[in-house]
Amino acid sequence: LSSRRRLFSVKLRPATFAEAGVAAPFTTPTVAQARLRLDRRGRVEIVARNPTGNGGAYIMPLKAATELFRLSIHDRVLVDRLLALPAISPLSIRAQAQAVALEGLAGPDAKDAASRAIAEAEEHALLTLLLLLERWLAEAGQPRIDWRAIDTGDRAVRERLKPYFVRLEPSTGMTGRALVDAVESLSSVVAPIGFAQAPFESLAVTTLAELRALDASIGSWAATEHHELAGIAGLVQDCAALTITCAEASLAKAAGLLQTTGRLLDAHSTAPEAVAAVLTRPIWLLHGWRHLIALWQSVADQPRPAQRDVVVELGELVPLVPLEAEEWQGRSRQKPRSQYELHRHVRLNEDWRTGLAIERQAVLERLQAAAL
Amino acid sequence: MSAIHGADGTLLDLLDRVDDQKLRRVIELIEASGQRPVLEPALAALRPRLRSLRPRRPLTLIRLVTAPFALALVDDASPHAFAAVRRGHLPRWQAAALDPLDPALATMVRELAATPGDDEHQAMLAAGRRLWPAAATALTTMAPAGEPAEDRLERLRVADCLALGGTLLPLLDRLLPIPALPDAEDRETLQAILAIAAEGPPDRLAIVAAMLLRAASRPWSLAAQLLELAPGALQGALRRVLERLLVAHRLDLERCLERQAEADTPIADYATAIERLAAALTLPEGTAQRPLGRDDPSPLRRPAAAMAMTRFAAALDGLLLPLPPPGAPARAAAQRAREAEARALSRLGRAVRRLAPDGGIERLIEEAVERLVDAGAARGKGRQLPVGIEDARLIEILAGPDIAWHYLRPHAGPAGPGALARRPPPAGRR
Repeated sequence: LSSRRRLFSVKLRPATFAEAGVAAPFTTPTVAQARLRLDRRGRVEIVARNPTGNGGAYIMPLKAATELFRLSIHDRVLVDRLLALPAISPLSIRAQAQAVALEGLAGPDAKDAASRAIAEAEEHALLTLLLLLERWLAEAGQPRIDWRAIDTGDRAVRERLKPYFVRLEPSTGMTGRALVDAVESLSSVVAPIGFAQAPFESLAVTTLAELRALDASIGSWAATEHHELAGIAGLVQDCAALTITCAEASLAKAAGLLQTTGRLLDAHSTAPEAVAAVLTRPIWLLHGWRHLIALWQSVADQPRPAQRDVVVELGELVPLVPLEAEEWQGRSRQKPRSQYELHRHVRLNEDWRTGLAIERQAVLERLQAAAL
Repeated sequence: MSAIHGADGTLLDLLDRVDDQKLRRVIELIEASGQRPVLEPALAALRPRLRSLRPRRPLTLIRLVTAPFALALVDDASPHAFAAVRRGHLPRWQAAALDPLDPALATMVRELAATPGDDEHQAMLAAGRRLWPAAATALTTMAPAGEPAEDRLERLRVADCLALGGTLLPLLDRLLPIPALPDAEDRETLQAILAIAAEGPPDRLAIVAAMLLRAASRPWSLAAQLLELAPGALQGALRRVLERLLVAHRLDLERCLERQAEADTPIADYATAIERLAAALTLPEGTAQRPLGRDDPSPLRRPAAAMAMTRFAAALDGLLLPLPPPGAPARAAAQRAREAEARALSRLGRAVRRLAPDGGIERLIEEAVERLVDAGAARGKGRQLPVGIEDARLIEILAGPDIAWHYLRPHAGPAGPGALARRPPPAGRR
């Protein structure tokens, strides 16, 4: 269990989500699930597992990954798209990965899955928009939406909703266009977490349910497993349990914010970043688990040795909940030093241990000349 | 003809056609029902697939009693039964070992085997240590009238394996799969196994060596290592045994080559068979080729490579047939099948390269890529894209991502990663 304690220790848990980064669905085995984050200069950097299988990670600008690794064509296109992203987030990376998969670069199965996921996300966003608007109309004492005239499969459905937004102009002091933009923007953030009245299961709710199932499945698997692997399975369970607790609390907090559309939009207009932060927390927390869930499901019918291999891989990939998530729950925590503070940033031709320039080699040559 | 043996429409034909997941489930059901021994001869045709699928098997008495000599089993058609147990005799030895078993002991063994515990191997050892000595005694003490001398030897061989089960199986478990280059711990285990083999009846050395060689992907390499590790007093006897076993292995490989040349097996199974051949006929990198005694299998490499090349070229031709038109419902399924076949071909190509590094696989792949590119250019007149994404994925699987990217790059837009834009085009192409 010492490795389990070590992996789950405060020291190795990232301080913030920004430091943990976002796992990217690369198909090249050496960078599979490598994490992306912004460096001090705001450039995207990649944190890839040590390809030798030992501890540590390779950290480099994402652009340099194409030089160091022999990436699949899917990953080369994905890297291109990711480099052009204005912000790194689970949803932005998911969208780019879906777009690349839709082209067929990850094979026919991924293409079909991407097509279904994109259609589902669009439908969820539209339904969310309709529900937010419906509730807002009720809050403002306006007549409700005539659902008979609404077909969610109709491309012009948003146009048909304009009159409803216009009715809200007097009470909000905003133009119909601005109202549409605000609700559209919110619905794309709310749809992935869903809310109580939604007639669909959101990405967050689905993932949370699957994570609970993974937790239970790994638990029963580990009950008949020997010490070392049971320890790794326990680590996965510990991380899953903490993620579930934090995600449930974050979903509850987001649900509180979503209780009234009017107040939500007020808050969004005054502090859009704070509102978006609360609404996207469940997604940040659950991010990375979908790959692990799929990995575990892929060996459900496999013999025990194959499942053992996957448990080891789960232990390596398991997303550690950043310490800041505990502050979100109102728990105090020991302030750890950010890993950024612990790292040395090394420039080209600079010795990583001493920070001295590569001229250190000349010093060593001089020493050798004196000692010979 | 039974329902399982026969022509189209029988269970065996159906099993041959179903996907891996369904086949695994059916076999697991057969195992759970205890009918596997009865159906074993008919299921033999599926053995190559089952070897990679590894369906879960309940720990039955039959399985338990077979475990100590499972590695000694050979097909009835095998030209050599030296230090082996013929698969066709299996039901006879299983019955001879289990029929006289005390019912109370049988119940205890069943309970031990069914106890949910750490892992199956531990359960097998716990139950086997009760069962195997009794089974060994049953086989040793029986004396069937008119038993042929060959059968008697085999019976005693099985009995000795059962007697050794409790000590030999944990060592084998520690060793398997036998690594190409054993480390210090593996060498210690091999020495411990040789020490066990050196004691007891004279046949024991041969049966233990035979089991080790059958479990090894590189029997020639392992034989040389065993000779290195054996104590001086054992060297002479071990060398004689190994030379005889390696002759049998070479003959088996020749039979395997003949079967593969005639067989119309799916390309994935064919690739697996050639991979095994290549592993058996080549040494790990960094080790010298040292044929043991008079038997040198390396002349088999050329004909094996030539045969596999012919199949590779034919399969490649099939792979390059055009897909159904865009938008056709069958297109995705066709691409899925094409990619699976290309992956099998990629494995086959790697195996051929090991058998004959200058065998011409690269030239075949280059030609295939050129044909894909030319066909793409002919289909998309006026289009700036040398290949579509589907063909690019085939090129990626067969020739690697760098070459695929070279032809696909226009898809990625002008802002492709700078490093790749600076790379020269693949050699030998426009």
